[in-house]
Amino acid sequence: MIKDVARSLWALGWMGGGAIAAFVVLLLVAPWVVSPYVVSLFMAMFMYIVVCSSWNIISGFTGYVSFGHVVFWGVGAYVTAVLVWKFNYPWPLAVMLGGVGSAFLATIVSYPILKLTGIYFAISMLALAEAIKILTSHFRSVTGGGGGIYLRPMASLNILYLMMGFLALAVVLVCYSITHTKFGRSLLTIREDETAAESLGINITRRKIQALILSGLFPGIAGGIYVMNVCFIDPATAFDISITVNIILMTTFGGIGTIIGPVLGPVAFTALSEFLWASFPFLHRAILGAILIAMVMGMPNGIMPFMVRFAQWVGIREFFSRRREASQ
Amino acid sequence: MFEAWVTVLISGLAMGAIYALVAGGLNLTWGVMNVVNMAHGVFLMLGAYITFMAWSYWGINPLFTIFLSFPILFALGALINRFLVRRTVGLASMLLTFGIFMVIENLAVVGFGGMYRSVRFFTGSYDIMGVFVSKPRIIAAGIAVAMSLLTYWFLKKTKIGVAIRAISLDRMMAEQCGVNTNQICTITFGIGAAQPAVAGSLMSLIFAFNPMLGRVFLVKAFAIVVLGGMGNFLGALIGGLTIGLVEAVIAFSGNLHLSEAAGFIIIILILLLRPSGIMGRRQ
Amino acid sequence: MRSRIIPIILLTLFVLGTIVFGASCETKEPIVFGGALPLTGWGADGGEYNRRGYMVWEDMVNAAGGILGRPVKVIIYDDKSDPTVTTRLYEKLVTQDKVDFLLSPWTDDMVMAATTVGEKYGKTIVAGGATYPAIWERGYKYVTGLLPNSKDYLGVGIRFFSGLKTVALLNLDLTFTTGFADAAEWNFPREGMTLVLPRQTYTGDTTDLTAPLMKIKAKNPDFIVACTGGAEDATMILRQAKEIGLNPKAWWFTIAPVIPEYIEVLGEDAEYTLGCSEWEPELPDTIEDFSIRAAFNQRHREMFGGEDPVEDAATTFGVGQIMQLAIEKVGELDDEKINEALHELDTSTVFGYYRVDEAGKQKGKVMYVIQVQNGVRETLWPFKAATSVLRFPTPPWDKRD
Repeated sequence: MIKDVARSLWALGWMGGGAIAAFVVLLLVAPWVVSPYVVSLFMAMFMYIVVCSSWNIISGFTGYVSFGHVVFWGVGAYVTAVLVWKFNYPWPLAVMLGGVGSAFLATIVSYPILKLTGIYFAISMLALAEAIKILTSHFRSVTGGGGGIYLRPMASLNILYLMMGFLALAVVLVCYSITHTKFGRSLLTIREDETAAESLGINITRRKIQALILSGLFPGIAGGIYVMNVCFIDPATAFDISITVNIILMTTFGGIGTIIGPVLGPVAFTALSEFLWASFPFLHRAILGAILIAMVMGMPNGIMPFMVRFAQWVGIREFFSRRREASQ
Repeated sequence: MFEAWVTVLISGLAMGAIYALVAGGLNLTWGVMNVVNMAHGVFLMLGAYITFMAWSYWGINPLFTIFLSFPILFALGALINRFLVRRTVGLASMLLTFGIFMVIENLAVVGFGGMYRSVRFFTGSYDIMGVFVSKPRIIAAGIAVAMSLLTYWFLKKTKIGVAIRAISLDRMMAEQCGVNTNQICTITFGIGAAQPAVAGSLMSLIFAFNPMLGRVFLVKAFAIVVLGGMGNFLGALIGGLTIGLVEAVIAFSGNLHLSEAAGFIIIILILLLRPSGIMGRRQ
Repeated sequence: MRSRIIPIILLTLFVLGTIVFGASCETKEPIVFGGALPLTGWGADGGEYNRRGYMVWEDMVNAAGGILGRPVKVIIYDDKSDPTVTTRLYEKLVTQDKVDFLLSPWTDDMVMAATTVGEKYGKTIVAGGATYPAIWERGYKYVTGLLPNSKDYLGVGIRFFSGLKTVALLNLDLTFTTGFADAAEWNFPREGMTLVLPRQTYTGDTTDLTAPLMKIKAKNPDFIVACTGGAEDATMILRQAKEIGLNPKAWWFTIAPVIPEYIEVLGEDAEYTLGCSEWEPELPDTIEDFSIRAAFNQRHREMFGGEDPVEDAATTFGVGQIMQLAIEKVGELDDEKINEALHELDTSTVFGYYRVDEAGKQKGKVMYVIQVQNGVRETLWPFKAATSVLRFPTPPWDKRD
């Protein structure tokens, strides 16, 4: 496993390594060049890269489309907030434990819920997110209830921005390298044909559970970083269904089941909606909606075919192609 | 105490019948066309505004406005299908209909404003031996059940209904057998838009609403469709009533938070025990 | 040679800089005020009223010659009713637009987010439409407020009915309504009222309140306090209470009764319900001094198609006025001194009295008890400002004509 990961990272080559180095440099330089407003915009973008890429592990690679992924983000945010608020944990530790919390949730629900497939899995995740939202509101002594939790600002924007940026980089690299491991290949096989995967000797239950846990871990950390920035969390924000909808929109827009899709989607969406919102204060949502309609009508397969052609031209096909080698 | 329980249960069933009507339209487009219709809620909201405007400007009896909201939204749904939804399924249809949702909701906020409206027509209740039955809710529920059963009859007994069911079983095969699938899908999407519009018309009698009305029901409607079994029309009705009833029981014996959470937990449990819904075909 | 050029260049630059700076002062560069309001999303309604208040204020201040002889410019962004966006926008206002002063956003969640940014940059904010006590209890230095906090907001009503013994509490589980319900529970024992059953909390997605209302009915309380967020849930509560015949002696709602469409939506069912108002366009000023209210009302009607201003517009106008008074008192644009002045001012605006404690909590504002009578809001208390007398007890639903 580790060997596979190492080999895959080595296989990134000069170009991949250069891209990563360039990203890190830009990430570090940005706070000195652009205003804090743009920094916090970047941070929101990185957050969506994290959650979209994570969603993509279970939904894109494994084929279990989740309609409730916000639950992992929200639980992470709440675990962090409660640890800082009630138990005075140092915030970086609380952020990490936010990830542990959401991964733990993924662990306990994974076995039963992954028995369901297709739309039934999707709806169960949706129902799970709604149920946890209401329960968070109900158990007031632990969670602060509907009034939410307020924190003192402790961490500076730049630090949180860097954490989110490196987390995004880490998640994308994890997604990239798992597709080069046996684990990743078995996920792709499960997506294509679960019965075939089983007859090939893949322990599908175990693989799916691992995929869901991995997919739940990172949004939890992202939620923790988010809550340290905003210093406020309530159930309506933490388990807002529109975050799930955004995840699905952005990833599908960028290209589901690819590595670069969940990166392109949030970048394109953030830039577009920011521009529209600044130019059309009252109609920005309608215009974004119209663009979305035009996109789906004009490019029924998402922006991927264009990107793939572009990628073939550049010669880094691997990043863009919907990974199929396992089933071939 | 007994009367109190009956009051609560009837209220729960009435709400369940309205849920069922909302879910019914979703069930059609989803089960038959494999279109995950995120614009469902705005059709509901438009229905509510049609009733409100017909009542407040022309003084039309709000119950008759369902004869306005049904054809108007049927036409809108058919147009949307003809020009937009027709060729998309699955996730792409979800993106597309979400775009439609954003456009219509935003235009509604600009056009109608964000303030709350309501049709003040029936208020109060029937007192039947100490059991209180809400007038607007029971009338709405009656119409909702009638509407659901009518659609069920339509699907079972009419030629178009048979064609719709044929498409839901196997689109390719239906096409081979000479069904004009494009036309039938347009009709299906039209009904799928008109049903929630009727539900919206009824809700305008019950709630104070603004253009965000549809959001409240979206999640629950999806859940009820799956609970009843996707593509199973009677299932959606039973699923809706079940959820309404369970919520009422837990709200009265426990509290509202637990009852709403229980609704969702029960959906998960039923899916685990019967993965294709209470009335669904075993796969 | 070189050694002489550099000082000359520097000197020239300095002189030029001074001239440019002086000239810019001469041409009266505007003082820029910036804020964000929910112009879209669930708060769009309130956001729009708030925006009107700021617009009228900008217009009237400039017509009267500006502040310290400089004109005023107001920038308002749309926060889409999302506190995360509020944070970003206030960062933008401070660091990118470099506004001179921040204006308040609308409602508690957004005020929380905005004041966090303000605290970070030492930019003071006079909170407008916000009552959640935590806003002033976080130890922030740069926040004051125009509205009384929710303990006072609820206290007025509960003291008004202090003879009543039993009470039931309904609570929408949003941030500010939870704050109201907490404040109600804090106030009840102080007036000798006992809760007949635990508070009944419902969510924004609740569609049926029969069960909690039946539970309340079984206990038959004298008084029902409903911590509602607006016309929507108040309508559901009252209509369902009518259906099951729930008849307390008095109904008290937060927020809802001052929402313009409340009476329109509920019609006769809104009769007898009580609430409190901080402001009405025609309140008699026997209690409070409303400064230039008549001019404000008139200008508002002129600018917005003859519509009367509502409370939210008066609040933001008041925010602007307080900022203006503080700036004029200090006489220069110094954030620290103006923040101090805001904590020390004892004055009145269109919105009413303004006086805050050391934490920035409002102490001076008078609250008015109102009741819906014959389709209009009548002021009952303070008695000096009363326009009508209390109708009590509320008749049972089936005994109303």
